[in-house]
Amino acid sequence: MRKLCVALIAASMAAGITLAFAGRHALRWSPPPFPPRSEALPAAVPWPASGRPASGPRRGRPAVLHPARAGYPPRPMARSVPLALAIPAIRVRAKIIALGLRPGGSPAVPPLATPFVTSWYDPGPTPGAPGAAVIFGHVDSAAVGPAVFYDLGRLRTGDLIDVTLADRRTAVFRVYGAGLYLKTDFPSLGVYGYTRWPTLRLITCGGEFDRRSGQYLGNVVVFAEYVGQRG
Amino acid sequence: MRAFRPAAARAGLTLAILTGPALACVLMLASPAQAGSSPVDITPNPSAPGTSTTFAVNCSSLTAAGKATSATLAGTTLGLRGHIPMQPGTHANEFVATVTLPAGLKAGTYQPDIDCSNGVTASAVLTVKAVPGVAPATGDGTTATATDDRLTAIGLALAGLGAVSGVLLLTRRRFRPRA
Repeated sequence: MRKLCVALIAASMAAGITLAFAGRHALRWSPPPFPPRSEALPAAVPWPASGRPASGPRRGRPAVLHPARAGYPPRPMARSVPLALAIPAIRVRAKIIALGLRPGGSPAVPPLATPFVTSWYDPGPTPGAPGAAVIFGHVDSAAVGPAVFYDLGRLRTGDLIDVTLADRRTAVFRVYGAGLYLKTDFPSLGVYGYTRWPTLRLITCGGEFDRRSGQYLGNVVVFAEYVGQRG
Repeated sequence: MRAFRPAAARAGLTLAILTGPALACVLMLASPAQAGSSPVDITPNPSAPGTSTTFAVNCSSLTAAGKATSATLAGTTLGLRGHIPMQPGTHANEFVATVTLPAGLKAGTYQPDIDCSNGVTASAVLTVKAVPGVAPATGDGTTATATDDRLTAIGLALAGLGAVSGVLLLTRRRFRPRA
């Protein structure tokens, strides 16, 4: 009986010390996921460069669209500021605020204190209008851990993205590519460059985290094309 | 003075009634005419450095005689070649050229000229907007760096519990022979 007690006590102490050690050294969350190379697009090419993509709406029609409005080819939408974002594939529902450029030349992003709010780059076109609309979101934040775009790197070709506009219509986009790009080699033209067909880019941070600069070394960029509207 | 005022007011009112619609007519006529008077169509406008931009010109004119056979775009102000030949478009007297704006082009407004072979000279205002050159900072690295404090707390609690139990066992062992 005494031997059993001693063994139990020794075991609990050993387990406790092991757990405490693991807690000090193991990550609480895993680093953010990023898309495989097979999903990546050539960085410098604004895609689709002109006209509608070959793999675009002509090939199939997503059943999710409202039948009354889902006539093809879908028409680009009039300019209207985006208010909300929904990505069912990674269970994201988020508010969108409009932000511009910071003095240093980088786009402004929502404060880290509101890690579940996304921002639309307002010098650019609105989602659903011709051109590339750009939306930023945080990958993580000390307050909550994983933030709104933590799972952005899990999006794959074919996933749908809904953007609700101020005029109460919803623009639907379909992912056609996703990649992890070094910040020093950010595909600015491919992201912001004009596209005749309406496109959307979702952007967050990713890759290796550099403790010295307090920055991720890369960005996850998801490229999506307009496929129609709901509502 | 008092008698004059209403008369002046009445005259002013009459003038306003007469000129108001007339002015409105002139404005209504003038604005579409102005909008349509620029024979150059630029897509996209605003454009951005490094962006493929299409210029389309309509060389038709009331004053210039004859059909144009060719047109050139003066690209010097945009940092391009001085004479860029344009291709015939889908409509008569229409010419089109697609150029890629230099990546180093500064943001601002540009007014490149287009010369048609029938003597018509046209220009349009192209707005160039800068593209953000710096990647966004979206995250503070919490998920890549934060260690699990809860695990540490549980581990320490477990180790503490073991230590207390050990001490209790030892003290009970010592007291047992006396009881």
